Order: sequence, then structure tokens, then C-alpha cells
Amino acid sequence: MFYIRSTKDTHKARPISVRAARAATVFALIAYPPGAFLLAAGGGLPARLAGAALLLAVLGSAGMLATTWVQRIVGELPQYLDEFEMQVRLRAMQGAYMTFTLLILGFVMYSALAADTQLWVPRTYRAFNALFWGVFLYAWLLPTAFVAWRIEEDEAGQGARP
Amino acid sequence: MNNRLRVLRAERGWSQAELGERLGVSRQAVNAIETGKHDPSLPLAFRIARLFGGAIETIFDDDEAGATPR
Repeated sequence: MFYIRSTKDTHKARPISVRAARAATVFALIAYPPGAFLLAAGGGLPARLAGAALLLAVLGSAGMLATTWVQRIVGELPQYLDEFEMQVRLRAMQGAYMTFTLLILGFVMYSALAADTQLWVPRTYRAFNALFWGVFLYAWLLPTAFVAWRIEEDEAGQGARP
Repeated sequence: MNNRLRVLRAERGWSQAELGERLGVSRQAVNAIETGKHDPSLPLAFRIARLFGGAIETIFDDDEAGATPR
């Protein structure tokens, strides 16, 4: 959804292999919830340190994808993409929208159940802060993940855009 | 849809990137068209035909061309 352009040449994107893009998206999406929970749940110092370390790794993975061709497909202005890239973007957005909607629905259902049982629900500013950045990260990376997992290595040309 | 894009490109000794540059599309788009994973739009098909100096039907072949209309 967001694409950070290079200030030197807005039409060039950084190369990354499909395998690396897949690993980076999956790691960031899977590691964020436990990292944020450890940091926000108010546990001891070791737990918070472990949470902070996980979140740093998530930031590193997400940062690795910024300005790459994978991120460019989902975030670049439409007039700078060709018809094939637009088709890939559209498919990725459809998949990401479905997944995002299911996650939100799942969270609402969990919140409803948690209100009646003694399960954890966000109540503090820190917890809502973690939730906000989680939603932000998922909105940003889910389309990228769909591009990375749907495109094949030969289509990507070993990650290098011409 | 089948096409002769790879053959025509090879005849001229162009890489996918070079052809993409001439057509104003990415190398990935050229690869997707050559492998049949993406059917080009009509404007792009015309650009391709013009570049290779032929008619669209000499480059692209509809799978159902020989099928009897229902």
C-alpha cells in the first residue's frame, strides 16, 4: 500500500530475490504479534527485551522490502506500472483484502468472547499502541506478501527489474 | 492464447529487457506474455505487432480459433 520512492530515480526499484521477499514478509507478519504482546503485556524485563528484539527484527524485515520491486508493485503510482504489474497488484490486493477482513472479523469475535471470559484484551495505551502498529504493518505488508508468494522466480527475473 | 513472441524476439537477438524497453513495459510483462501467463491488452498487442512489422494474428493465436462457434 505504501511505497517509499528513491529520490534519485522514481522509476527504478531495488532488486530482491523472490525467496528473500517471501521470507521477509512471512517473518514480519508472524513475528509481530508475539513481539508486540511480549512488549505490551507488561511482563518482566526479560520478556520485554525479547519483545523489543522481535520487533526490531520485524522492522528490519519490513525495511528490507522498502523500495524493492515487490513493494513497488503494490505501492507505486498506477501510471508508472505496466498492465502486467497492475494485474499482479489487483490480484494481490484482492487476496490481501480477504485476509485482512478475516483477521479483523476474527479479532472482533475474539474480543467478544474475551469480554465474557478472562482472556486478554487491550485496555492500556501501550496495548492499543501495539495494536495500531500491528494493523498498520498488516495493511502495509499483506499485499506485498501476496505479490511475493504469487509471482514466480522466472517471472521476477531473479529479483532484478530491468 | 499462444504467441510467437519468444521466436520473433530471438530472431532479432533481443533480450526480454530490451523488448520490454521498446514496448514500454517491464521485463516481467514480456516474460508473462511469452509464457502465456498474461494476455496483452489490445493496445499492447498492436504495439507488439507494429514493432515486429506484422498483423496481430500472425503473432497471437487464439486457442479457440479452430473451434466451431456455438
